[in-house]
Amino acid sequence: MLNCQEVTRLVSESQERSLTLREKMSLRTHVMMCSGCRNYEKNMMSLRLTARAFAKGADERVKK
Amino acid sequence: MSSLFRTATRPHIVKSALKVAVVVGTVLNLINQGERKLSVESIAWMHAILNYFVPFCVSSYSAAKNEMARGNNVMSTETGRDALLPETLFNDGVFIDDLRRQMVKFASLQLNDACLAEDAVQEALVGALINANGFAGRSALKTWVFAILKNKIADVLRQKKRLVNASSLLREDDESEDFTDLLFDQNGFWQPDERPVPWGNPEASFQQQQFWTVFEACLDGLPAKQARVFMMREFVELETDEICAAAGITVSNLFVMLHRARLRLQECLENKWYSNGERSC
Repeated sequence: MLNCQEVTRLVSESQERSLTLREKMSLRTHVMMCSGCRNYEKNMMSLRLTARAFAKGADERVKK
Repeated sequence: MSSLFRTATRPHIVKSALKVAVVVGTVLNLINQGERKLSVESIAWMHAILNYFVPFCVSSYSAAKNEMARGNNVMSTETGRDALLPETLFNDGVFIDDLRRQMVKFASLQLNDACLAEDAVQEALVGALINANGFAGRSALKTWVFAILKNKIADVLRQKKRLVNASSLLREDDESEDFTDLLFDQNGFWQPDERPVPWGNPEASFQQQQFWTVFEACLDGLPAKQARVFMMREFVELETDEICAAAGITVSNLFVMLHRARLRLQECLENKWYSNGERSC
């Protein structure tokens, strides 16, 4: 059984490599029960979107 | 005018213009002189040659014009000073433009100076584009430009004799269990007040200048090494192995650093932006 700290690690690594079946199952089971980690997972997708938008100049477009 | 000529004499334009000239010229010659049944003496050679030459000129002129207009577009959307993209070997203005921005963001957060960053990126791009004929694809080009940029940044830092500022030096080493202790209890579960809240649709925040100020501040708050690999990954969009090679670290090292960077950013963005009045319960 994973704890939240390990789940955040898996969530981060899922953006870098494909997780093994075992990792995916334990991740999903935990996320199903834990709202904090569920939010974290979604927020990490938003973070990626945000960083890429920033790098492509989304902030400069607002300033104009 | 001379740049128009230079553009027009680029190999790929000449090649396609030749193709057009051969097809159109042959058709014109058949129309004009077909009835002479190709007996060599009766062909009006001057006309025959002109029939090939004119389509060639028209085609290469318009291709060159078109290409230059695209180049100008790229330049006119530049926000930087004298952003002189070489009238690019790469026809894809959007790709180059995006790449440039990603690099500038990376460089300015490293150098703490927008002008120096612009210069470094400019030099890196020019340097890469000069030797760019051999690139198989975009990701190869991106990696190459980035490698040059990294060296430029190192040069600038060395010249300015401020390799790392004191605060980031301090932050560099004290990254240990402290931060994770703050977020998780001893069993590795969220501390009650650190449990992430839903951010909702981030794109709504993209429209607000204040959000980007916060985002930049959070990036600034990362320990230097974490910031560097995070930016390589998410700004420059390099792949894992490219980052490991560039930063001289192992894959598991990289994963740990990215994980920590993401935890910090989640915490920072949430405290400074998303939980301000947006919390739903």
